Amino acid sequence: MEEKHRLIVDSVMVRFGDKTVLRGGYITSSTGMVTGLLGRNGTGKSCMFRALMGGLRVENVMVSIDGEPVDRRVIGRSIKYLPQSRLIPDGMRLRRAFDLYGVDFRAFVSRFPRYSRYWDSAVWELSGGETRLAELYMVLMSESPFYILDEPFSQIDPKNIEAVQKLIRERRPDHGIIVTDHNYAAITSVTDDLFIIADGYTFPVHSRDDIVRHGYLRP
Amino acid sequence: MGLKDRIFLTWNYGKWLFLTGAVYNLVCTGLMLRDVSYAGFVDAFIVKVPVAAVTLLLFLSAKSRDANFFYIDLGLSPRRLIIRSLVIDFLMFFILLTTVLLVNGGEA
Repeated sequence: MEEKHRLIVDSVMVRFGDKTVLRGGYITSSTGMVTGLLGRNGTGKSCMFRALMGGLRVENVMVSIDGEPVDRRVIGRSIKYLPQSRLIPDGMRLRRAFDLYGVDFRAFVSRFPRYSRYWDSAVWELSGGETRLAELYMVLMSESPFYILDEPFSQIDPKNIEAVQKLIRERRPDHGIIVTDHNYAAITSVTDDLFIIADGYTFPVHSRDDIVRHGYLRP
Repeated sequence: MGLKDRIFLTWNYGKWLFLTGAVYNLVCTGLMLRDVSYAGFVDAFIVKVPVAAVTLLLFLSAKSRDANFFYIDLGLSPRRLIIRSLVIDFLMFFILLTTVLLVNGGEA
């Protein structure tokens, strides 16, 4: 059992010109928990993640682990982020990317045998769904106390959605995981805690009514 | 992460900066070989700075918004990778042109 950690992302403010996307973004995660983040398109879910990972210029963001501010220049040592679009650079070989992330490619192939044919392939040789699954596995199996997965179920076929959910459950006991996706059923079946972003702020979700009230689901 | 991996990642991140920089450096070296002079060296450097700036702007605008996260996840800062790439490019520029000057003996 690994040490327990707590991640807090607070006061996230993101503005594009005159438009303020996030005014008070907040999310928290702890070891042993899967936290879900919901929100309609354009409400700033990905912006919040990009902001905290240092991939977006922001007005303000506070990131701390166990009460200590995180050095955002080397944030990848504490948080691994799977963005919505491709993570692995196009020309890089899949096996090389796994090596760099310290993940055993053989273990991946033994779990997903169809990838044995991509032993020495560059990422552009894989389909979108295949790349997504490989990247998701690579991020989740790399060494880090926290993971943020931005739409991990997109492009993944139904059979592999179950495999991804299983993987998330396996990693949960020793890690903190934040997930956002529009596959509401897939998200709620793996999360312990839910938040929703609306009008630039993050709200905790206690019941389905909260989600309906913020306009994410129909009554 | 070892030094070999760091070198590979720096090359992988900034290869277009390196390649365009190398083309300019080689053109300058060719011109210097035809007319070796300190004045030529200074002129090449004066042009090198805006060329590197324009290349950097094109590089940054062509790069996808999410392309940096592969490196960020590995604990590397994209800003540092860019600075490292530019330093190596300028270093190559100085090494090549200084070698030409020293070997052929420049005139003011």
